Amino acid sequence: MADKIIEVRDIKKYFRVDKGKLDKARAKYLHAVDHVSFSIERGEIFGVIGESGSGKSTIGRCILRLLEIDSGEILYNGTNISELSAKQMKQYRRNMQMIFQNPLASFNPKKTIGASFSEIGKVYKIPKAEIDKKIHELVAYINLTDDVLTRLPKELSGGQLQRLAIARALLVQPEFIVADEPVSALDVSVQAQILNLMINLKKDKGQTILFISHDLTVVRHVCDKVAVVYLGVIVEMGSTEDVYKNVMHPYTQALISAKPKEHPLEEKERILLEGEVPNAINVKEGCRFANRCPRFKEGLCSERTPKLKHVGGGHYVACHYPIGQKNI
Amino acid sequence: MKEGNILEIKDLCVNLMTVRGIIYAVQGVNLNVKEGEIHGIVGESGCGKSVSTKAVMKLHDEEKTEYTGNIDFLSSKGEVDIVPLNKKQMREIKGKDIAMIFQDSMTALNPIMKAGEQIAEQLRAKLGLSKTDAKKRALEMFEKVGILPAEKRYEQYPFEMSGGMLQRVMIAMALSCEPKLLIADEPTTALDVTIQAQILELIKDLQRESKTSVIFITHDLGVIAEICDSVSVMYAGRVIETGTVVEIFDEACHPYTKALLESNPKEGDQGEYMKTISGAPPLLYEKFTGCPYAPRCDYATEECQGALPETVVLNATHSVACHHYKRVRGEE
Repeated sequence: MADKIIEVRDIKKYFRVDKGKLDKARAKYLHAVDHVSFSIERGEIFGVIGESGSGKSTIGRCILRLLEIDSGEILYNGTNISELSAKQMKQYRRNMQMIFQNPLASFNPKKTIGASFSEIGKVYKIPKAEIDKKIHELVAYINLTDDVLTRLPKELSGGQLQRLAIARALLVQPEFIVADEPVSALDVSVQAQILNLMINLKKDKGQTILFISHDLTVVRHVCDKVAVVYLGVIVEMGSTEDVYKNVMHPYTQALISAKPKEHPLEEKERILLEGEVPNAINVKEGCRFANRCPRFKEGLCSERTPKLKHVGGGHYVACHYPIGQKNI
Repeated sequence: MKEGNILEIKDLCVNLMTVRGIIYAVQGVNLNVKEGEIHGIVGESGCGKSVSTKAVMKLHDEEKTEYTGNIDFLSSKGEVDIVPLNKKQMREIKGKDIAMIFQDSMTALNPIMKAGEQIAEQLRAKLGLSKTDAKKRALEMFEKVGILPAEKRYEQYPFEMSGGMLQRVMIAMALSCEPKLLIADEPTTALDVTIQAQILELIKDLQRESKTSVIFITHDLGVIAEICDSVSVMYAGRVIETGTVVEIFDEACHPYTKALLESNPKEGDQGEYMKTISGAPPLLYEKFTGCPYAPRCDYATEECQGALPETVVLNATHSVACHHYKRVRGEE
């Protein structure tokens, strides 16, 4: 059996969107994450891809318990961490770190990079000599020199800061990292530096990473497995190659076809989705993609919510009429 | 001006006065836009792509900006140099002859005015239409750009619309006076891929129909491949390479263009290391005497430190500013 580091079982997170109204029976909820299950094996980069409002960031935050889930279980190395108290959680926090989209906002603007780094040592009571050595090693690992430690965040470029944010997350040798859109605020030449660093982490350290992104090419480049989310549910999941080459869900197909061309002469057949991503407030029974789906059929699609089903080889799809398959 | 060109920017420099000193944001840009083409400008943040196109509309704060060079534009009243024009003269050109759409449609629109009325207001001011005619024309524009049902959407405020819809409102507004030149400053950067595909398709369709010339600014080479006829690549306030879109993708002669293309992740190289460009783009607090890309360039020699490379014309459409373009092409 594979070594599962994170297992998410049927988690649910709803946000009340009409706060302040007393009438609970008619309350409106945004179904940000709705019955999502998946597991991440040690040493893999697991991608979560979706458009804005799909709930991909919420999934990442729920796993780290930066948000409390409404129901379901989150297992970390087999232990259910979803009901631990804040104090009990602290020992796990060290093993689970997060990297955010905007590197400038994730550093204290008034503190030097070095001070931000050593603060971590204080929080986890690591002796100063040890943490200083570790900082030195990591700064070299991300191809920077020690003089960055005396600088303030505003004096560094976005790419340098994002590499430092990754180094800071690595300082406590976490087993698991959640990277929430780590490259979307960066230019392409800098983006490549960060992606190379991610690939290095996996190769050298066997780092397990949950990689959240909206960019299909980036996900395809770094991730071993990928889950495609739409309005709070996983619609397709499997190894990256499988999902990209044997697309089964019409949403994944549309997403891939919407990606701009790589070369001006490339011929590309495009499935243009009509309309926009609807919001997930008080969703009804039926497939959430039904109103935009090019394969929509009356009946099943609008009446029953498709379940995520295994179709072989670790490939899962939640669709009544998946591409290239007979009805499931 | 050359026959067939609608815009010719010659040696444009834009200096911005800031509290930290003068920023030489644009340091001698040369750029030609032909009639009826989509001309892409690509570059990383801070390369001057927005600053130089905003200069075409004279959108910089006049008291804190210094322009030199020429921006020759073929307006509906004939050829005109935009640089010396004052505010009043610019008002004749803005909106009617040149229109612009921005990245952040939420802040570009008036938040306390109905979306439809904002278009109608412009039509009344610029074309002198009556209230009813303006509304009729605004509704037509809404239908053209796919904001449906137009009647209902006309009455909505910007906050009631999604990002994709607002971008459509901006496009409708920009095209409502049938400008000769449309400047699109990263119009799809803030949008999701599926919405981006819709908006690009829309711009392409409308452009084909109206034959408007478009300057399309983006940092995404995929978008360039998708929509542009010709491309200018900018670095540190200068255009370093210009060509047709195929020339740029297949026959790039500048090391920066090459590196930019290579650092874009592609299909079929999963899990491989990508080529990166070491270092970061320079700050523009001084004028360059050598090639600004030299510190990051694999081909750099002493010559590059010493002299700013001249723009070399390779053929009618392709030109490059690099001392070593022959070596980059593998000819030496």
